[in-house]
Amino acid sequence: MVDVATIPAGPRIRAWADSNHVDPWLAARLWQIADEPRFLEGLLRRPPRYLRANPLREDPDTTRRRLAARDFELASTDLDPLVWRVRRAPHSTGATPEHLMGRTTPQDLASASAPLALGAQPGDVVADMAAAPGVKTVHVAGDMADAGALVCAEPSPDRARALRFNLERCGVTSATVHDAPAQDLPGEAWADRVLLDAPCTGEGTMPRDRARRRGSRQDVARMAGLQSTLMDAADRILRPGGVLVYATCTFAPEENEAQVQRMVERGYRIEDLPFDRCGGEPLRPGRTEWPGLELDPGMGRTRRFLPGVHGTLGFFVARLRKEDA
Amino acid sequence: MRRLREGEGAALFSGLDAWGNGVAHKVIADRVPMVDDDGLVSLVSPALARLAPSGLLGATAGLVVGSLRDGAFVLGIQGAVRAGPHARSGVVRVSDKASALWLYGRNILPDSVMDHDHRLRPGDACIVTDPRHDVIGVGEVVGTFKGRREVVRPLHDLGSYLRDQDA
Repeated sequence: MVDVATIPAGPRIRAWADSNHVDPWLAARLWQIADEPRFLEGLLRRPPRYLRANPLREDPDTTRRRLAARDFELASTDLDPLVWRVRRAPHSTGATPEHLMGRTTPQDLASASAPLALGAQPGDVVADMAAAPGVKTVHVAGDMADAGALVCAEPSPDRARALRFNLERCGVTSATVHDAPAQDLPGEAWADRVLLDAPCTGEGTMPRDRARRRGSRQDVARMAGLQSTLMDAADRILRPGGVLVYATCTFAPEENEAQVQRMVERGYRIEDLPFDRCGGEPLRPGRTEWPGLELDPGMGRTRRFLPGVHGTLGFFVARLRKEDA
Repeated sequence: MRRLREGEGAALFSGLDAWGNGVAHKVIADRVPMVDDDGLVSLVSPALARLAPSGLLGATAGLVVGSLRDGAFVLGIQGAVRAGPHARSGVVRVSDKASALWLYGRNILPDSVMDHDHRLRPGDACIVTDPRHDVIGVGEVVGTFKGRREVVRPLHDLGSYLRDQDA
């Protein structure tokens, strides 16, 4: 069981927490993550909206022209050329014919980083261990030109339904869905790449979900336990020399860097990510120090997205390489 | 899920080629057709199909394009999306206004039809497109294209991806 740190909350932090209805215990940890005014303000403000084009359905330039003809104003982003910021929308992007035809999907920009980090290629066998609702799954399928094999796991019936809807809507032929927890996926060493966008405390979604302003040591510890179980399963199914991308939408180092550290201690190497900026700002390197954790210096190769700084929800992403046999 | 048996494969090919010669090859391309216990036919990437013996195929795999019913292939919504650009028969193209209503599950009236296959008769299935020839669903002809009453009712429309996602 991971030891979840309590950071002392001084008067400035308490005042900020009190005026913004944030749990003081959580507030102190957030200030320790990044004591930047833009970050702290960004936690309390809805982020920009984005959507991603699906090249499996249509040339993205054509899709963008179609949306422009419907009076959508879209701006390019520096992280992913297929993710556009929605500057103006006459109505919900989810209600356009383009969405129904699978040509676009709403997606926060930061979450596109996980498939980008994975770098899936045509012919790969990829495990998507917490796949629902399938936005990243569709992204990975597109990277493989729908010419690989995506093995997805989702234990919740409602979320599996959403996953299947998105895969079908987007025309994916290369994915299969297991109605089971990812740790129940059978076999060993069959995946070339594993994507684990793990269930987490979701602190990074605070800008759009006020409920995330409450947090507890127990929640962090519980999710860290689940994440460790999933990482063990990822290790089992990933072949030697394969790539594991671990991501969450939370800030807690016990759920992020600590999980990566467990794999480093098994011989995994932390690799550089194929991107370093978002919203014109450098991404923040992962923590190499945190109370209660012994962290490898290579943790600096992992990256954090900060609301208010990068124009996204909060996100953590790490790319790991399993030792060759 | 399993690969199609010979008779099932023949039904799939003839069912797709009913929309135009060569449609089956265009729709299936290099994908592997597979079928589940409920008769749903999916197209599966070759890499995914190769995983079948290993037990890595889950409850669903690939893209459902239709179903086998009483020995015949019945086109589903994604089958129509793949077949539509190549279909030479059975297509009904409707106006933008009618397309918007269709995506709410509404019927098509004759004055909304921009062009259609004149061989279509009541009871026939048809592929419905918007003015730009983008497939928006599969319908059934229920009336005459010259009258004032509904002529096509939806069997599958893309609007179900919004209406049914929380059902």
